[in-house]
Amino acid sequence: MTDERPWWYSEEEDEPSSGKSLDLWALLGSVQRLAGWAQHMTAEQILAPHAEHSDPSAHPTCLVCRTMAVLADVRGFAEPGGSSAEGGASVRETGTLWLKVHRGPCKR
Amino acid sequence: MSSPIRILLCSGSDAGISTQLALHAAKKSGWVPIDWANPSAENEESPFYLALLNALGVSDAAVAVAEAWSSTSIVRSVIHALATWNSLDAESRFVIDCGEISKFLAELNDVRALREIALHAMRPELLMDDAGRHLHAQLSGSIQALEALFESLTTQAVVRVAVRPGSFAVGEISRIALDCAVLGLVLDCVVVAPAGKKIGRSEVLRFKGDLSEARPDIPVVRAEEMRAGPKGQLVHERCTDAMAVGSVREHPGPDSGTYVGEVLASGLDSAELRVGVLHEHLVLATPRVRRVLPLPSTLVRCTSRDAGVDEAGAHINFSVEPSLWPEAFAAEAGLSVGEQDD
Repeated sequence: MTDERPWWYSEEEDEPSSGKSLDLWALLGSVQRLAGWAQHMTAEQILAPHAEHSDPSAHPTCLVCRTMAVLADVRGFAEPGGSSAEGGASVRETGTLWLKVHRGPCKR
Repeated sequence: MSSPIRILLCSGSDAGISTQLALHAAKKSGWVPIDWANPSAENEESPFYLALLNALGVSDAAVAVAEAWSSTSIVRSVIHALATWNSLDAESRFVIDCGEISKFLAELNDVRALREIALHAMRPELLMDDAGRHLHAQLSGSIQALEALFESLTTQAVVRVAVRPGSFAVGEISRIALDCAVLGLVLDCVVVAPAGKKIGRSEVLRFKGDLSEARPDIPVVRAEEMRAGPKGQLVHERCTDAMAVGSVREHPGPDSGTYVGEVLASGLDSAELRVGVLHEHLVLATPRVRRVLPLPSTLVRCTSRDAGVDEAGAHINFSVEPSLWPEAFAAEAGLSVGEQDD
């Protein structure tokens, strides 16, 4: 799927199914290898230190805390304290600069 | 949108009604139905599917992956669709049962979150050794491929939502349309379920009228009104007029040293939409879903000021940040622009 064409695009393909399965196998392989690496190589370096972290925002260099912060951001800024104030920009811990948004016809 | 629609994503206010809609659409149009919410036993036992679940099952240490993939129905759906696709001729079209609309959109949002995690959480410098960094690079590539797959839904798939009078709030349709647009999906039309024993025809008609009044830009039809069409055609081709969020394009701004980032999409004009900038990406967010889009290189070297949203899409105003342009680098190096530092 490194090709820019959509994966189902067929009009110009010589082999209709070429490459599709291989890409998914590559994805699976990456997940498996990362999981294996995390299990065997970093349990002590990442998971053990993280066990003592209660506030993700206080540990920006912890992989787990950083991931949790991004996930929290992705899963909704409507949570308490997560929304930008109306009429002005604000920056969350994860770095998003929220802009003031005007409604109606856009000025160009 | 000129390319043919090849995937119809059927969803509903509840999972049961989405299956009915998918089967109905398949029967009417002659498309291939796929029940993503309930994959067949054959698919569940496929080596690839089992291997993926096995990988997820042992990935408790890889928190980022396991957390975002904890709901695997979308991933399962992709695998199922690809497996089916490979066994059919290239011109086949899919009608896919995506279950309950809120759950479907939430899971799609989770899959898209993988990209943000790869970009902003799993930083190479936080991975302790070369092996970890190497695997991170590989995984990032795979996530980009997965992202590309979902991006392609933007041009080839539309969402059709079935709702039941009495169990679906009219106001909900605007939130669904907004979330679909942000995630890159066009809302094709809303289908009002047939009247049941407890709901009379008059109530169905009134409900349909209320939906149409709330969102006149979205076609609302009763299931009984859906007619058979030639194979490969949607019953309603309205989707050719609607656009979902695809990419950010740049234009010169009204003043010197300004640019405008443009995101063309239908359905973004909502008070719930928030627009932000995160590093080299534009962020579009609602209280339920979020999307990051790469900014063109010119806009990366600007500072964002504010944004406007209307029925055509979103426009973000940028001002040139002089310190990020070549002249500044050249001046710092003691060169004039155009000179080479040998």
